[in-house]
Amino acid sequence: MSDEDKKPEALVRRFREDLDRVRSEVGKMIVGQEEILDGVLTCLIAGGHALLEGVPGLGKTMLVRSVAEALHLQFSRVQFTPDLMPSDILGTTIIAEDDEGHKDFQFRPGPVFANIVLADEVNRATPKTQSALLEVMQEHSVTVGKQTHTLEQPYFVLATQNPLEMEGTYPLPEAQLDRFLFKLQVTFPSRDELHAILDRTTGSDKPTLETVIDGPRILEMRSLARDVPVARHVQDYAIRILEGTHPDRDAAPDMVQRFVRFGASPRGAQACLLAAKIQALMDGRFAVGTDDVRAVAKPALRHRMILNFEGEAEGVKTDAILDRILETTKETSG
Amino acid sequence: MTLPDDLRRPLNATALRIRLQRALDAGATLALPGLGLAGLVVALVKTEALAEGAAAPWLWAAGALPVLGLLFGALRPLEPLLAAKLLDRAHGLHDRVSNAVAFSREVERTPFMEAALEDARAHAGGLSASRAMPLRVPRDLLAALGVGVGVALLALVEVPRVVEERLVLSGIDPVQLHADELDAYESELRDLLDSPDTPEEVRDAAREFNRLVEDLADERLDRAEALRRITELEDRLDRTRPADAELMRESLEQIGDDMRRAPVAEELSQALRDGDAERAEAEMRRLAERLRNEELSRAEIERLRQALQRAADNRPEDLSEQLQQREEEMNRLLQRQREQAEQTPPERRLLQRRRRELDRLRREHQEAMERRRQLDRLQRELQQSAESLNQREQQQQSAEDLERAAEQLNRMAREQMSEEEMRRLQQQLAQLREMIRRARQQQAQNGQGQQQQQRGGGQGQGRMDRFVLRANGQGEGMRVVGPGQQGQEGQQPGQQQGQQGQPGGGQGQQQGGQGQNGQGESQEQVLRIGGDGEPTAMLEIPGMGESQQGQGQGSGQLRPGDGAGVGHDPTLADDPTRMRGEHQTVRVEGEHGEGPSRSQVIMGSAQRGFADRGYRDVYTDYSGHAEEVLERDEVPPGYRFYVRRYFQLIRPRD
Repeated sequence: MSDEDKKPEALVRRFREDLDRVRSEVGKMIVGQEEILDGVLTCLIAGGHALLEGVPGLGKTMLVRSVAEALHLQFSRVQFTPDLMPSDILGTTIIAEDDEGHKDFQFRPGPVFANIVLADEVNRATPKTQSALLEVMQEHSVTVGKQTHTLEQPYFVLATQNPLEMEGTYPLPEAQLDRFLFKLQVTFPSRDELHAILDRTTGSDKPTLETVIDGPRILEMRSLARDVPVARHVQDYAIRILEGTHPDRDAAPDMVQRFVRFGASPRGAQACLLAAKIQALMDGRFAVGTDDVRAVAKPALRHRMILNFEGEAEGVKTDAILDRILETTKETSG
Repeated sequence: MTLPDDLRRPLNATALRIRLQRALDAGATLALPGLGLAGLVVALVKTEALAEGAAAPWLWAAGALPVLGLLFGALRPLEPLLAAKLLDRAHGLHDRVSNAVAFSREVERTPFMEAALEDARAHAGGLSASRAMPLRVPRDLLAALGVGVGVALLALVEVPRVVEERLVLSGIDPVQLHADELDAYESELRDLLDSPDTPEEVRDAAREFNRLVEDLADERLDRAEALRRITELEDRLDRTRPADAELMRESLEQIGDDMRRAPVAEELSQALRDGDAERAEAEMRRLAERLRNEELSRAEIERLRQALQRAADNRPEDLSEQLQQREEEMNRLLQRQREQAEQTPPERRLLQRRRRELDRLRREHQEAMERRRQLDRLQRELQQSAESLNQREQQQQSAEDLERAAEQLNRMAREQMSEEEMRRLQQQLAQLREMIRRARQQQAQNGQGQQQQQRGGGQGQGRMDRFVLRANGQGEGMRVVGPGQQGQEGQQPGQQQGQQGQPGGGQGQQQGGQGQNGQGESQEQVLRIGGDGEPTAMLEIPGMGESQQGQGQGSGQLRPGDGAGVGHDPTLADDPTRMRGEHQTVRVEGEHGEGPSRSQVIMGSAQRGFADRGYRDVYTDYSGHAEEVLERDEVPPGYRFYVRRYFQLIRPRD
């Protein structure tokens, strides 16, 4: 790589080009859902994990699978059910016999040993199994017996959950929700998008995806994202938004004070800034702006706020609260 | 790298527009209360609840409010990056400019920061301050304009003025004194009333005096009633005033003389000889302190003891016997008068006067006894102190005795102060009496002229106001008119007939065979003080004029009069203005018209106003000195009035 290629302008240009190619490839399979796709890519580049929430049939699994194919990453999918055990996803030790007849314990890796793991309907598994997955997400390693197995980077978990069928499910505890960088809400496609979906899926042509970037490139992009500077006033803005989610702070709007029990943790601000950096790069800029923070605030914070009884009873959405916080938080602190 | 000029220019322009908008907003906002205040002041002036002169500062304050708002808005610190944020928002730059400003302040910049600066610079070409900060009409401007129009309309409205008419009681001929003169009396007593040390009886008398002055100002009193109330007040002061203050002073002087022989008590001796009880108290305490601290030598103590012993032994003669004699004599006189069957009215009046005199003597006697007791106590303390000194090792006891003597002096000092205040009040009463008498005299002499003066009262007040304005530096300067401008009014024959006769001094003219109506030729010089050729204040100085005003009428042999004659103004019987009665008072007044000399205009220091504080100091010095001289030297009572009146006229005003 020449010196010219190491300049920020060139790095950012290449970053955008790669992402555009990924978008283009995934776009062959997925109609619409650009926002979700950007969110997933942001989480992937930031090194975080994403929680997708949406009703069945909206293409969540297809989207993740397509991303994995476009990125030339190993993909695995786990359908979470109530009888799923931790060893089912982590892997287990079995007795293996070699050609000479010697028997030995061997570790058989589970489905988490991949670059992109789709944990489908994660809220249907028992908390024990959920905890096993969430520990992997945090530590990027699996310990079985006395042996620790490190997962290959990049490692990205994309969990989905169905907001409708809550009967017999185990909603994720708040502490575990906090480990997801984004919570993305998959919305129902528009009429035009539905036309396009039907056109693509009911015909005989089946598009094939090309691999545009690989794992090492993802890691380069992750490193580049961390180099993006954040001015103090932008960082201050992110902090003030975070403070706005806490009902005991002066900056909190009335709505927060009325409906929120606990605000977002500092991980929320970290998620905001990290995602905002990637947002700036996606836009071809060299520094984070308050617009970037505002753009990522909802997916980064919506699952980190815990409503109080009144909020739950009133059916208040955390997105509405975040809208109010963004509305009342001034961009300059003066 | 500092911020590139491409970015700095639109940033500065935006900041300027922000300040301008804020200044306009704050100015319009503060204009509302300012206009409200102005409206209130205008309304008060219209309804005469506030004088026009007093309204000016309020109107200035009202005008200053929007200016202050403008300044506050313009100078209020801007939030950091506000201009940059506005530029970013207006041009959709996603914080490129504000990031550039922030990164330009960083000491160490990463390549990404440099790239961000370059990126912002690349976008700087199309930045427009007017787009970032479009100026709009201030929020409160319309409301301010509305209120302003309302105030202007209010200022144009003519409120019918209520003409204050003087309360003139039917059936009386009120004493008319100039308001300025009466104001002088009130202000003279103000400090006396305000002082917490003023004894209650003096305060009551001062309040009564103020009521009298107010009644005179409202023209509710005729001359007889005014003089009656003055007399009543004087009697009241006489009753409360310590009668034998002179005796007390003499006694203290005597003690002071005796104490002079002790060098250590020299200061104490001097204070006693001066009759200053307050200072004497302080000196005595100091002496006691020295005694207590054993600072005195044996010889000094011995001499002090001798002096104290002498002061204690040397008692003035008892006056009670003398007073008793006078009382018996008075009683005999009263008895004899009662025995007479029929008494003429003059005899009855004499009897009443004697009774009052007797009452006064009794009162004086009682007060003298009280003073005597005070002196006795003082001398007893001195005696004890001397005895303690006589016994060796008893210096502490002696010092305590001296302290007690100082306490006694303290009580005397307080009474001395009270006496001083009463004397001052009596002086004011005497001046007021003289003023009333002169007003009457003036009224009688001028006749028609006085009516003109009454009509021109408002004009005179206006002149006084102009004078005060000049004194405050708002006039055009003071014009001093030379004495010859008005010329002489000439002679007014016959108008003073029978009124200016002065016993023993006047040159009487006997008219026909009656031989009663002695006609005096009075000589007075009238000194006029004022501008514009018209008198503002008048001082009459008897016996110093040259031209004659009155001429007798009638025929008869000319010979010097041997008495005052009859038919003259009875108030002249107690006229104290003559000097030994060997002069002629000639009254001279100016004459309207072209005089021989030209008027002279001197543009003096009053162009820029008097130095008020300096003038007050100078006035206090001079008036105090004049008062001392009047007290100390033999000055005819009439001249005293003129001197005091002069200082009254030139007193510094607020």
